Amino acid sequence: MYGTSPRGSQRTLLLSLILTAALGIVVTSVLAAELVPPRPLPSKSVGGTLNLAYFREVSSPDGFQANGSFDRMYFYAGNEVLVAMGKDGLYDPSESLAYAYDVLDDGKRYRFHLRKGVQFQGDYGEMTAADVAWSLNRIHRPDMGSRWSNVFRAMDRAEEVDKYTVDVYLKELDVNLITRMFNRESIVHSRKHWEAVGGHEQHKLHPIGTGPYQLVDWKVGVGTEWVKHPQYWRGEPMMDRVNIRVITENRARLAALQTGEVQVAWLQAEQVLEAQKDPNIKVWSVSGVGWDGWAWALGLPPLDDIRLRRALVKAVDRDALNKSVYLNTMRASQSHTFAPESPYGIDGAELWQGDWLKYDPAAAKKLVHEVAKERGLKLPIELKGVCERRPDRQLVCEFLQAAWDEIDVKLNFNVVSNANERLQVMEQCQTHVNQTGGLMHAPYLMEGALQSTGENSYSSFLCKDKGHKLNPSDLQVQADIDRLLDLATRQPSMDKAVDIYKQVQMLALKNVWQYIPAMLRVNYYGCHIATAGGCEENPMRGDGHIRPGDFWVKK
Amino acid sequence: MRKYLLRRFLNMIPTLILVSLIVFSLLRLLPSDPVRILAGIDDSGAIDPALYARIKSELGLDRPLIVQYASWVSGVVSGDWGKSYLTGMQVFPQIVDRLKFTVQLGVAAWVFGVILGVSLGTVSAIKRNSAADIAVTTFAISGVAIPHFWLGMMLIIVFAVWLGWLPFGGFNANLFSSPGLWLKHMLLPTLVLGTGLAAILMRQTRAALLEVMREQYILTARSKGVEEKWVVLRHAMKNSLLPVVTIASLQLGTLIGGTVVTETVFTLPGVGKFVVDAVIQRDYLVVQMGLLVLTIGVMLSNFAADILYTYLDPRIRYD
Repeated sequence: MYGTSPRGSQRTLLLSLILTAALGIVVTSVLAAELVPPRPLPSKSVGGTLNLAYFREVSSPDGFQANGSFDRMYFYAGNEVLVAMGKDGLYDPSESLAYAYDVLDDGKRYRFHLRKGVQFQGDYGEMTAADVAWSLNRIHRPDMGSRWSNVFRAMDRAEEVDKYTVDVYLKELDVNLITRMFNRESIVHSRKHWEAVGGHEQHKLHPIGTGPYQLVDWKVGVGTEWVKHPQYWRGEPMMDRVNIRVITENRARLAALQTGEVQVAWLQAEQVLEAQKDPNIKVWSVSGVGWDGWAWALGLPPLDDIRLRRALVKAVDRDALNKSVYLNTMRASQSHTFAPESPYGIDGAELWQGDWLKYDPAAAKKLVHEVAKERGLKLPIELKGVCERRPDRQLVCEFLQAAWDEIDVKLNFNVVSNANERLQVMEQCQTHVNQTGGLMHAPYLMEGALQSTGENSYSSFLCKDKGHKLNPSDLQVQADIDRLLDLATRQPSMDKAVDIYKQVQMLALKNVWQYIPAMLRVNYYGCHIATAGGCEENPMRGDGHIRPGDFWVKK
Repeated sequence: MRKYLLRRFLNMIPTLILVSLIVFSLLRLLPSDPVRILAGIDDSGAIDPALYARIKSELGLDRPLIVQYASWVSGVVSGDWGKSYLTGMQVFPQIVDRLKFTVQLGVAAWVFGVILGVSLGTVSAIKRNSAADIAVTTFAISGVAIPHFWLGMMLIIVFAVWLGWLPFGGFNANLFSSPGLWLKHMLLPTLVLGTGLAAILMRQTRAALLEVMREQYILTARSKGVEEKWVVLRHAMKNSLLPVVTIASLQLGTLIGGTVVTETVFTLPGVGKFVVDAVIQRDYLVVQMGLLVLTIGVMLSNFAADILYTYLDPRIRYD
């Protein structure tokens, strides 16, 4: 004992705790993030029914349980995320349930400030921190319908701090937490309703969220019907009803738009030119929401030779590919995973247009012959591939086949029905080239494909036990990419991580690594000018989709 | 007769069992896997192996195939058709709901096809080798040759997009409460689906009528001074229609089972499109039940054709 009794020590401790808590409250209230006002809806309530058309069925109108990449068109009618993505692909507080967030404890804790007065649909009351914490904690509960535990592996738990504040604790640093939350994983639902309907199975059919419209009917293969949520926090929704119809046939969907029976419709590439010619239709597009290209099996000879990989890229005239297969609805990529204009994008023009990767069939052929001679391979070099049975994708494979034929490389590809089957073939680790593509709204998406432990990195990870071996220099590249991706993830803020993500992309492009994002995807929507309000300004968000609450029917 | 019908009815049971076995096994031979779809290969391209195993077990797809089959069949017999893997909705009400529409479309197309086919076939036979005959024959060949898909799309472009007279597709009408709207929505799909049947029946009617018109009793009727229209309607038609009725009855089942292209082009809520969508999604239970229901539909319509045949031709006895 050093002059202080245990009781005195306890008192001091208690006092300091109280003082710290009081100080915390004062500091929090002084420094509390400034309330960003909600973005008002583009028009006052006009009533009536809005019809939208999409090309495929939704897997569930409950966004949290929907598992398709293209389900956003539907579930954003009624579901909202804690942190929403804006048109620039970054956090947009004015459309988010959390108007601000703070990064605390050196990036191990995120504090979200919630809007007051946000009401759930169907009189399920005000959204509070308890609902938000409960919604976020579902991520690690497959028994609650979550499919996303893996994506949020760094997240430990969410805790309610007070009625309008939630803390998210991380097990390890993850600079991508916010961008991961842009998607369905941070959708907030009413816990009261979830429990009232008896859990995730019924909630999948009857979700209650905070969005502008509440689901009233879901008829599989036909569409979903929504009615307005009169207490919506951004103002009274413009329409009384919204129907989101499934029109799988592309030409029929365009016809529905041309007749004004639907006001807004997703357009497939082959319909874009015709839609653009129609004076009644305004076509919007967002570029760089994904890429199309092909992936390599780096450890499967002879693709372990970077010269051959370069030769295969150099043999492809991407402008011709765009014209002949995609009807000029894509862009030849000059970057890597992200478009150059994206906050995360690189300018890779030097590589794409310089000797390294530039379209030059003569130089490509020379490289192929060089590799064949050195490695004692018979010409033409035979490669196996896999391709999806979709008109554009099958044509891409045929295009590659023809282009590579010119440089003495023979591609034999199998055609499979869908992406799942393609992945199953890729997991057999017997194919050299695999037609593929990806979405690219956030850097964490690179982890799955580029990191050696990435679940989609079939070449380095899945195939390592199936005879694939990286050569020493490629092993070094993989080690560098792994290190950089780890480093980026552990940055306290995205500002600091962006440069590292750019380094990764440059490294991958230079080494023709894992996948070739040859073309940048462009998403298209059409708006019927005579009947639809909201056609003037491109309303597409950074994820390449619209939000059903943005439109109304003109009287 | 009664014994024959009972035997014919009971024969449907082994057929159904065979169909169920074929459907069940073929689906499982497909390379894709519904669990992978449900496990959510999303933006990150990731599949969590634990989640995969959990879903597989929840759906009972980790059990031996014979157990899965037995469980499905016992469910069907006991009235539990199960839930869609994809949506979690009960399969039974979904199929019944769509079947209601498909039956409406099938019957409308059938009625249209029978009326058009028999009328044109009769005109063609009476005016043999005339311009009308050539025109009707050309229609018949085109009706059989033109794909439903192309015809449907052309009709949409002309009547919906260019003229704006009819909706492009979709269906939200009730025959009894809004017959006008119902007709507007059903007109183009009925035309597309019924044209093929009309063409077949036209050829059949023409051939049968021409054959009958050469019979002695037709000559007798004419000799007695019976007006030509009554010769055709009362004497020739009655006897020539027997094979036409048989074919038309058999075609009803085919129509109901073959609506998928029309339903897809016109975005109609029918069972054909529902099953095809389910095949794409590998939603096993929906496909199994949908195909089973369609098979039952075809078998019942064939059964009805048998009964009708015996009724129309009293010379036919099965006992």
